[in-house]
Amino acid sequence: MTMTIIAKRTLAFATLTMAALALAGCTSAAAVSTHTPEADAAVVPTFTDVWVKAAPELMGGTGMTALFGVFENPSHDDITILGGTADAALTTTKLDTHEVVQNDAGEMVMQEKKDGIVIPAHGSVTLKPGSYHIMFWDLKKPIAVGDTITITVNFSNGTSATVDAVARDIANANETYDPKADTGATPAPSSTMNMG
Amino acid sequence: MTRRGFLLSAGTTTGAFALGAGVGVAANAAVALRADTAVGAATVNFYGAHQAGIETPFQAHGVFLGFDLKRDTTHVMARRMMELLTDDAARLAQGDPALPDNDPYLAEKPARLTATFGFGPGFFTKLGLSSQIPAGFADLPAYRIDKLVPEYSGSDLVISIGSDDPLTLAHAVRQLTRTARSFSSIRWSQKGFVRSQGVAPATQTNRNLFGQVDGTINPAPGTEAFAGQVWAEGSPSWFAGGTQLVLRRIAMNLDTWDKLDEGGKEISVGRKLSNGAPLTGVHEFDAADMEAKNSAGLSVIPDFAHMRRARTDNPKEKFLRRPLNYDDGILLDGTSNSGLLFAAYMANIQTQYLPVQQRLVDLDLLNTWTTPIGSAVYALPPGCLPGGFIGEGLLS
Amino acid sequence: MHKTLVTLGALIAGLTLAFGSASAATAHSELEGSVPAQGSTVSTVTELVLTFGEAVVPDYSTVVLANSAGISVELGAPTYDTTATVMTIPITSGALPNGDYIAGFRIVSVDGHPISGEIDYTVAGSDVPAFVVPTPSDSATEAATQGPVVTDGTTETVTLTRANDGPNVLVVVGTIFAALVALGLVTVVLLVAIRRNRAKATE
Repeated sequence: MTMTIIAKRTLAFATLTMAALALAGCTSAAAVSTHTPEADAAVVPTFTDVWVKAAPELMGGTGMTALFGVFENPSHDDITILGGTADAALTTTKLDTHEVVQNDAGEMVMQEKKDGIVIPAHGSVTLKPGSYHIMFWDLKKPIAVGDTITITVNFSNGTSATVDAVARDIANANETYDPKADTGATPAPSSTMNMG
Repeated sequence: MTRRGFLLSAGTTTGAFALGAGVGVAANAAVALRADTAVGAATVNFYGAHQAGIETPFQAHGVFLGFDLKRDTTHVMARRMMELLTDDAARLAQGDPALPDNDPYLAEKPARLTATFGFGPGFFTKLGLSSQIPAGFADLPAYRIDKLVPEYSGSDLVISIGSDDPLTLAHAVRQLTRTARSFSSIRWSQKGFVRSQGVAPATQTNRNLFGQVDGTINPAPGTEAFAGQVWAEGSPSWFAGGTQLVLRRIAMNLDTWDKLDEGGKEISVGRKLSNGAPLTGVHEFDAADMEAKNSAGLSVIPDFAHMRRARTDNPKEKFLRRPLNYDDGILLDGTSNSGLLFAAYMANIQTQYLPVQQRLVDLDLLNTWTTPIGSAVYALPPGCLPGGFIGEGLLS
Repeated sequence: MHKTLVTLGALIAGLTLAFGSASAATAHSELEGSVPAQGSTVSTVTELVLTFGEAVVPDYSTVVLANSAGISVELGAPTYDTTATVMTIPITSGALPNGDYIAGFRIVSVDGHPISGEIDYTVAGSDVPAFVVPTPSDSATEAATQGPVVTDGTTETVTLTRANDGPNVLVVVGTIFAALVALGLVTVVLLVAIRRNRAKATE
């Protein structure tokens, strides 16, 4: 549970079989929105089941965590999640969009997804362990299970949303951060993996 | 292995299991595994005036989990815990994964899953809520027949989980424990069962591991009698619609019981083994004739018979029995390790339960083969509506 | 009260230890003999003596006595010999009048096995006046004036008077062991029994 920071922006314990976890998208992919499209520039994606991984103890006075949830896009055009900001008391570092990919060594590692996370038109994307997530760096205080974290999420159409996320205990979502991972590798986009 | 390769192989493997033919296309496999049956897809509504899992007809499998609050748990933390546990339970009851859930497939077939929450005496005292303890709610007195062990006794919080499927149940246990453990530590878990769905008509009274028909005198769900026995009224106000649970782990010595012939077994209880009828009757629900004598002038239902000692005409001493069998396998000496998770639900332990339990302590031949080894009491809050949480009246 | 029960529990455990080897061999106790004996005709009966093949648990013992007219005869609290295999039950009114009698017994051996049965015998040559069934009005009156009736609350009580014996009323009742006061006496007897037995064992 406790994250050990070996070096900045590195999470220890990349031990679980992330390929298996990637399968989790099959059932949790959200239904396609039935909302009537608005003028797309004004459309703000909706979100459900948003949570953050609790970080009950800081290591060396700081810590990191990630936010997950289902984002829906009722509009005609793709919208991209660009990242966000948290309350300054929690962290002043910008919240990045991240993905988990397989590197050349076959390990599942996480890396920044600099172009953001796309929510397809009339579709949804699920941010979840082993896949897309919004990353928190440089935590100034612990996040206990049950705490509610409020962040502002910014979207590519110029809109933003205030999102409340409840902190939850989960054993995984500890992927090693690897800035050199092969960016050509296939991420684990749950919204396109529904086998059923 | 590439990720794509993994997916393909996984799909083929599951296809083989699902289709049983050694061939399978990944897509077909997924469809086959997710197809529902009436038993697997059945759900019990989590929300309502009362918690689910009490008036709910028996599920085949059940687990009681006992937790103790961590020493530094505050009122606010207890509230958060119950909010999160409520969220988990409501999702799982629908067949949805908990949030988060690393094994979401295991939630797919709820099979009438319910999770029911209760607060032990320590919950109230540790949180400074002693003034809110419901009327008649307290630990049971020490009984001379008890041989209680801490591994099965008491706790600040209980979660009772039931399902017709043991795999679904095991998953729910893990999810709820994961949430609870941030605020509390597990003290014990106790697993039990009755017959599987479809084996007997749903209305048929269960049997225990002594072979006895057990639960004949229970009030029928949905009746005024049930409500009167089980659901508390408004004192204190947060507890209106709640109930009190007595959970006793009763070891049953199947090996010495085996030494009795059928007549001896029947006379110890006062009911026939074949159908649960009283020894003075023919059918299970026949009223027992407590005055009937045999040719020697002896009571047909003996003074020491369990049913004579347990029964009462006093409506204020009746309650719901919802026991599960437990069978923890055979010990190395070849003897049984079995018994009953005796779960009794009532509006008021003191007035409804204690008089009956005292009579059984004073005289009950069944005590020869049974030994209470665990005991706990809980106040189970009323149910909640969507957006609310179990225990909100106490913790808000 | 509670202490008495605990003591009894210990006693039963002690008895189990003392006679456990015998009980392990036989699955249950049986009536080995009685006074009066089954089918016998006797002149004087002031008590019943039942002998079992194995120790019995006093808590669970029930003995009832009735005459051939179905009238119950009140019995006193039973006492037990040192081995808890011989059970003596006094007849509250003393000697029985002439007539045919049925004694019913139900006991539980220390292994939990319930045994029940009946003993039929005849009293002849007794000079005790016969029972008569009083009229209902007599019965109500006598019962009210004769004080408490030993009963388990479920047994029908019939009040009898003896012929030629005016106000000498017999209160007749079915179950003998409901009087918990008797437990104290039983405890003392059994304690003595255990001590004697231990003394023997060490000789």
